[in-house]
Amino acid sequence: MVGLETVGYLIPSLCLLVGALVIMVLDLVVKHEVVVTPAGREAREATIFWMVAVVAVVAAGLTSLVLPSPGPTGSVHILASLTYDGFTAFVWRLILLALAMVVLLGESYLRHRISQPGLYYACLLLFGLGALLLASASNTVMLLLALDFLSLLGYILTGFLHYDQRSAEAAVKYLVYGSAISAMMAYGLSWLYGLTGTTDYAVTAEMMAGRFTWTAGQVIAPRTLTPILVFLLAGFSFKIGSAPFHQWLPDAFEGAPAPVASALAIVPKVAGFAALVRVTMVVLPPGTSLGEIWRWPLVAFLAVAAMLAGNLTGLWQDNIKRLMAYSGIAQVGYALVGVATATERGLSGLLLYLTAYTFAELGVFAAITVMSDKLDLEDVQDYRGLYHRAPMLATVLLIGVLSLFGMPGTGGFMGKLWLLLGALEDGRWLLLVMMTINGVVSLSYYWKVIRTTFVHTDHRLAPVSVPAASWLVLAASAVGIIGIGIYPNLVLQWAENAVQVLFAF
Amino acid sequence: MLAYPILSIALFTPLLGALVIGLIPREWVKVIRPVGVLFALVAAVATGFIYVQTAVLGSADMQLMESFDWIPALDLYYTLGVDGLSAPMVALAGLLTLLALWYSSFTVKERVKEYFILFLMLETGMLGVFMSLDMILFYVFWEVGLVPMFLLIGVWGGQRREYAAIKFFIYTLAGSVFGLLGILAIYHETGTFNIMEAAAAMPFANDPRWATIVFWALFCAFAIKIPVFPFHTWLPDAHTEAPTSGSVILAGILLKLGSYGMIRIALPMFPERFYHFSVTVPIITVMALMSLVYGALVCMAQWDLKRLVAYSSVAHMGYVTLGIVATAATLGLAGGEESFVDAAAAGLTGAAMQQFSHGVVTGMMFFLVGMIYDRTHTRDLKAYGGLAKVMPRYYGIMLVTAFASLGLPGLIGFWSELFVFRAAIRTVPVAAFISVTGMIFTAGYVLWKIVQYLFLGTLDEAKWGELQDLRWWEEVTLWPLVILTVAFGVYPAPVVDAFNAAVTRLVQVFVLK
Repeated sequence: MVGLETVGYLIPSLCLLVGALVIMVLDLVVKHEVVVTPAGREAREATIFWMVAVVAVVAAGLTSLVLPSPGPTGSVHILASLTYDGFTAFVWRLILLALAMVVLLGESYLRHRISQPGLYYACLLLFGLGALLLASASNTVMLLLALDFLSLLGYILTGFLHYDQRSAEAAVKYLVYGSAISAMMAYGLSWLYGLTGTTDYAVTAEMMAGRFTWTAGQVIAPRTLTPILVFLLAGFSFKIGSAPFHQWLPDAFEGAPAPVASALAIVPKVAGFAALVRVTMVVLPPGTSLGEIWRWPLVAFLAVAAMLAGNLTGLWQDNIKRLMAYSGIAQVGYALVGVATATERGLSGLLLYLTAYTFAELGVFAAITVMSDKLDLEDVQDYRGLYHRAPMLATVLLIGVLSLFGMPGTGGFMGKLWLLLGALEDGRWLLLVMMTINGVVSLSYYWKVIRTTFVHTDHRLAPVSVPAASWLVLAASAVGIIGIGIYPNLVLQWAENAVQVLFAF
Repeated sequence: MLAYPILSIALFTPLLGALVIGLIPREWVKVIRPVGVLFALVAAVATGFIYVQTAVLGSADMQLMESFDWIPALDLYYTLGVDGLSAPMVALAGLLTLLALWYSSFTVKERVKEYFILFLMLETGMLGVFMSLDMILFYVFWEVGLVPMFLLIGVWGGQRREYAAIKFFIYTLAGSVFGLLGILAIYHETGTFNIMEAAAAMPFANDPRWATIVFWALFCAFAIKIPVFPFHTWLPDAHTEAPTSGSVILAGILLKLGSYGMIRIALPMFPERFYHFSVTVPIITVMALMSLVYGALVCMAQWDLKRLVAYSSVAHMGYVTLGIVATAATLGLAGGEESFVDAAAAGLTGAAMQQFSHGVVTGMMFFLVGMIYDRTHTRDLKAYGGLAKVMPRYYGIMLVTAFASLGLPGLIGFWSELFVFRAAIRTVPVAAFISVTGMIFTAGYVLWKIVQYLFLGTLDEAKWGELQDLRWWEEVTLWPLVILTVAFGVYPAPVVDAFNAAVTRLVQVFVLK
């Protein structure tokens, strides 16, 4: 029931909320000072906000580590709308880790290029809050609320460079798109409510396990409920950035400031996947006829569409943020294979893959942020000879790209292998073949990045200095990728424990 | 028995070297070079030791095995082992890398640190492929070798290096992706990734349709690497544009990863399919013959020296494929006869021996080509002539190489061709007769193009009168290979016995069924 003792599980979220409020208050109090240094314009107060943000995220992360575990298959219901279980624990920790890294890698960029750092950090923390809520939603109303909340913060953050037309355009595009898809999802969910009379996942599942009847006594065939599934899937497809509702993503990445792009690359995807998995396993579990329709062909179609859309369009990109956006779409396609198979191996593979993906994106976006910050350069060609200008940065960029591509020895390969084996177990040969072929195709645009940074040299260009906070992100990214690549057992263990609860229904 | 895991030590020494060099500042080139060569030397000594130990312990069975739990949840075990088939290749890989890095210390001037790091990483990848007994571990090491090689070609290569590098990468990658699918299919069927166990389980023995699909997936992966016609088109560009040491390693070892995979994985797991596509529907036989004959003919048409040697690799690896075909063709003839096993193994012995000898000889050939290019900056055969007068020592070693390449008795190249023909005449006689023409064409391009155009005829005094003969460090690079060529040409027993014992054991499993 709605007992206050379970609210304790929301402490990580509260940390972020309190942090955001503190920053907003401080923003009113602290003097805004723009200093012109040899390095450029610098907003001095950004450091204070940054520190508060770091403290908030670290506090949230630490508290999420010490929350009492409800056991491998137990779950705690909070406020009748959220669920904390092993799966939530894993996803929350991953999101908070990513958020911490995003705060770190944006530190220098914020000082130099953002005129309202306080608002930025507050929005980023609330963005994280929305993600935490989305990942643990177990009620359709909360699902919608969290999704919209996360999106709203996303719109604001994307349009943060108010002097840059691309940023404003990206934000408006994201807003219009998001609102439309949200409405579609709301419509589907309201239909579901109309049929079942409840908004709770578990109760909905129970209701659907029985058969629906019209008042005249006719039984509704599950197939007729497919439109609900389609609307629901549209909402998820939008959030995680999968085809066919991915069109907002490349513009958002290109227009948003680089640290925001890195946040957009990781946080909504992880949270969106968590919500998708929860809906898949609780409301539409494998074994029920609706569940089967959901996974195959709907989610499977989404997976293949995302892979193809991402890889084939990514080939033509020259702007590195746009290229990463399309690469992200393809990555989401691979990850969706894990959802489509919905076996233990498939889902633990999904978590492993998302972890490796997080580390890889952090590494790549750390490099992109540094280049955007120091040099305001975003074209792939501008990364020419990066290996000579900032060798460590270029090396981590290389490792990150190789991981995204799935080179053995990196975490991305382990994740992909797991997903492939999950698909094998489930007998989904089409997904298997599509994943491997797409892996080869994706090489073309990843190679563009590798070639420009490593093969091309330009000795006229000056070295690029890497800000101190970004070093931590680079190190974490490299260690994470290689660690998972060589010895994934630890993360795998956590992932497998995390998915246990999903099969306990 | 050894108390320490020599295989892992040999395997990871180069990687350790790469990490150590990673810590050395880029400007300390004078430190990086000796450190790199030192690590390669340690690895070479370790691999030589492995070879000797394997011969001592018995080449027929897997020796020096190590097995650790890697990812038990996935049935993945870090399993290494060598037998008579892989031990000589491991030793050759160690030796060629050492010589290549030694030569590179004197010739590579730009971005030396990255060069050595990439080369050492490449060595770990190659050694890992030969030593792995777990299919996913095999695949991991296979892929680990791709990126360094791709970067070596792309950064330190010739004029069209970027094109050659990306062609090499995508082509080989596409093949290995098919290989991965095949491996996964085998795992699905047999429940294990271990090569020996999976082969013993005879996957898809009762299902010709799936067996065909999985067989071709695996075959394509290895065939692209070997390379077998028509998958060879990446090779001329990659070999020609790679830096000298890169070409040596590419031709000397990397191609053999494909043939090793074919012998170790594809053949034992699908012997019946191999037989079917070698004899009943002789696609593979035709592919081998085309590599042999067509490859040799294309060689004869080349005027670029390095490209000629590159195509000669295609032709020589055709012998390897022919040897494998010859053994596969025995499947239907054995009838369970014990005495036949020996003859059946001859084809594979020839193939394995050809791998080894091609590695030595073509490695030497690419070094020689690199040395002459270093002096003259042209690879055009028409520009040369009469170099025998100016560079007698070079001429001498090139002669040894050339004759070994065409299979002159007394040099290493002869034995492999002998064994391959001995097996092929018995089992695929038509193919054997056709491949003899390949031998003739080989003699043609070696003698006519290489020996005559380079060394005989009139010397252009103005251009080449002042050419320097072999420098001391070039001699150090070449002489170990020359010694191997002559020594194993006269007394091949150490390697041939090793190969023979291992492949006999391999063949017993499926020939006697």
